[in-house]
Amino acid sequence: MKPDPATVSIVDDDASVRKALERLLRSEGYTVATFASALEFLDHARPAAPGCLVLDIHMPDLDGLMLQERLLEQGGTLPIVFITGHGTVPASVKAMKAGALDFLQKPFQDHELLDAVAAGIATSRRQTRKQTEMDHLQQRFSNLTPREQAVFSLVAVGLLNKQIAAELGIVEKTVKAHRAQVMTKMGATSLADLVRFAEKLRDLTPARDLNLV
Amino acid sequence: MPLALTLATPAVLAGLILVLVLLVQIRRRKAAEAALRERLAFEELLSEITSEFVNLPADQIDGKIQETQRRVCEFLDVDLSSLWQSASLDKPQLSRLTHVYRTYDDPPIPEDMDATEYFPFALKQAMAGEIAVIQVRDLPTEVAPEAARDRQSFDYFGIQSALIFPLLMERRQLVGILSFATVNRERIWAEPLIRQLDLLSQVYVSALARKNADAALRESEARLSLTTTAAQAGLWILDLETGDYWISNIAKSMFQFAPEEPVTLESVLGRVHRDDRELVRLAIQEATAQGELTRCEYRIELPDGSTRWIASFGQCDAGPGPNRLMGVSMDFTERLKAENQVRRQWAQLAHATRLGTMGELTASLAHEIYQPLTAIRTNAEAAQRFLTRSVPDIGEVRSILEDIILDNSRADNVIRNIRNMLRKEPAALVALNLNEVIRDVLSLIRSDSLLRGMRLSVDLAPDLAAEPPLVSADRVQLQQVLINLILNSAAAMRGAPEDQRILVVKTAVHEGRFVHVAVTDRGHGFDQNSGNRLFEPFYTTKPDGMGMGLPISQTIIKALGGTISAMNNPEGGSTFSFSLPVVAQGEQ
Repeated sequence: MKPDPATVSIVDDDASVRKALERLLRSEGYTVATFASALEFLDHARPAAPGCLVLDIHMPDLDGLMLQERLLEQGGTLPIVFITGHGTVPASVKAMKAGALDFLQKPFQDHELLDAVAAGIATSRRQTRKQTEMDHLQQRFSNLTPREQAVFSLVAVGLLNKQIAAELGIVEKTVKAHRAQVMTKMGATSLADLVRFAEKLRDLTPARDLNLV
Repeated sequence: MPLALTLATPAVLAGLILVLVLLVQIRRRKAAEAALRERLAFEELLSEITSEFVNLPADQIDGKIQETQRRVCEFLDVDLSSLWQSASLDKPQLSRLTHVYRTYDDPPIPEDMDATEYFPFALKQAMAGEIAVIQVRDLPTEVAPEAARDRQSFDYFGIQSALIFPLLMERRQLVGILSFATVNRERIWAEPLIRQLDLLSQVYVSALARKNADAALRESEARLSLTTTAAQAGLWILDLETGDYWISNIAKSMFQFAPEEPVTLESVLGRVHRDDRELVRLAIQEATAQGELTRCEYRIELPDGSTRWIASFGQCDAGPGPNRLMGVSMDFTERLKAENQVRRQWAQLAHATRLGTMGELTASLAHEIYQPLTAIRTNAEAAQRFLTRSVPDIGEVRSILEDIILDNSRADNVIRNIRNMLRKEPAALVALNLNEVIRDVLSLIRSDSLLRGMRLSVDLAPDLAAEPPLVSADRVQLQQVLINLILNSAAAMRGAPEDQRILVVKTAVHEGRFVHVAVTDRGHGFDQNSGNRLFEPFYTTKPDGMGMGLPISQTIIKALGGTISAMNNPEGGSTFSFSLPVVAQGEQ
């Protein structure tokens, strides 16, 4: 049995189903948190990454689709596996469009759920890894001096040292020194690395804030 | 005469005076003898009249009164005799001139003449139970101003002297007056004559009373006969001492006895269905012992081979006299058949509606079955995994198995409920705890699409839990009513804002005698116009509604001795509620 730090959250208003799902996932070694309603989940859940949410569609008060909507509004990225007793086409279409990972109709086989949850956790893990990488990148970028950041962005768009010197009104030798600093601080081993980092940072944040031209 | 006087000697004078005195005495004696004769003759007339009233048929009484008025007037040389009666016992006005004799025709008697109004002074005495002796010339208009009206009326008829006798019933109740009068001449009313005429007035009173009683009896007999004929009700009287049995013709043909066939209690009981004979005997005993109206329903088997249902009501004669049981019997076979027919039709309709409702609920019902099935399957799969571990987790597997059993009975319950709702069996009344019926219903329909996104607030009276007051009802019918009311309320809130979609199901116990169930929504309510028609068949405000839900609910609740009603809430939405009588307390 593999130890897995991933947490699976279950939201289902039916106590027996909730308990059975919890057991099945526990038997697979997951850490499981259960919630009897969407509101309870919103109030109490501290989903640790990586993780996955197993969500019943039909619940009184706030149903599964509404919870999905709320989570998206809050910028959540937790993968959702929907389960439903009577899967209506419109509901499943809506759920999938909103980024649901899977949609299972009760009663389902254990591996269907476990596969979906595993896929969800893999997605979550990938997201986590990407996030960590981005966090690091951003951290390194913020450690550059304003002049180094300017040199970084000009290098990234493909200017030669001479052109950068002319652009910034400094001598070429100084540009070379800044460029060496940027390579070290950003952990890049080649010009190609630098260009890739710049692209990722641009995806994450509007260029203006990053002083990227 | 002066010659005679001069001729007369004192002796002659004395003799003449003596003769004169004798003559006067003779004349007086003769007059007295004549008066006595006349009085005796009148007394003879009165006793003749009195005897003529004895055993006189009621329908001849009026004619006899008028005829005797004439004879009395002729005998006494009186011009007018009138008899006035009040319009009814509770009206003091003497507005009916019922018997009159007079020797002249003019002036005419005004129509609708009310003696009380025309002769207020005289009538005041009559009302006080006194005889009014009137000389119109002497009417005391100064002391009694109302006498002026009397004088005016008397003058109109030319009456100068009158006698007015009050006609008094028992407890001195005034029911009329009898008058005698002379026209255009005065008359002195002698005291003996007044007493004699008063006797006559009493003869008239008793004759009139007999006539009224006879009319009342006739009317009551006519009514009874009309009623029994119209209702095809058979009358019977059972003499409890002799066993004699009198039964009316209707009753005879009801039991198919020949017209001349003698009827006894035994022959009647012989017609009663073997299984009901004891019931009838007990009912007779009960009626005899308690003296109260006793009802008994039983079957009779007739010579023509048919079986009929009879309802009999019997009561013992109160008071002294022979100990008799009187009663009435009615054949209600046709009514029973019609009722059964209607009941069957309603049951069919209710079943059809139930099928329709269950059809609409399919998705919800499937959900309620799949929930426990999902739990069972998932639990079983988890158990397999716990068992295939290097160290099998037996404790976990044991608790899984317990849950599987619970979920199995949960699915079982849902299926049983559905089957009950779909079955087509006659209603069976059992003692039910309404809270449990409500929980059953909610477990069936809670995931219906109508109820989705709706807050369901269930407020079941706590006293229904500990020592639940039970109602007598058919479980399926009651579930049908509840499903109807809950789905109606949910439908009413379909378009309501999300935070207002609250459906409340509430139970309460009223004075320990009624259980009250209310289903409240915050929907659009109903307008007063449709409020009056909500329970009419085929009336619906829903585009896809059939309009049978509420009429069927009403029929079900009424048949259980309960009431059902609808009202708009002051804060919006509507409340549909029903009450059922509590039949027992405690466990089912």
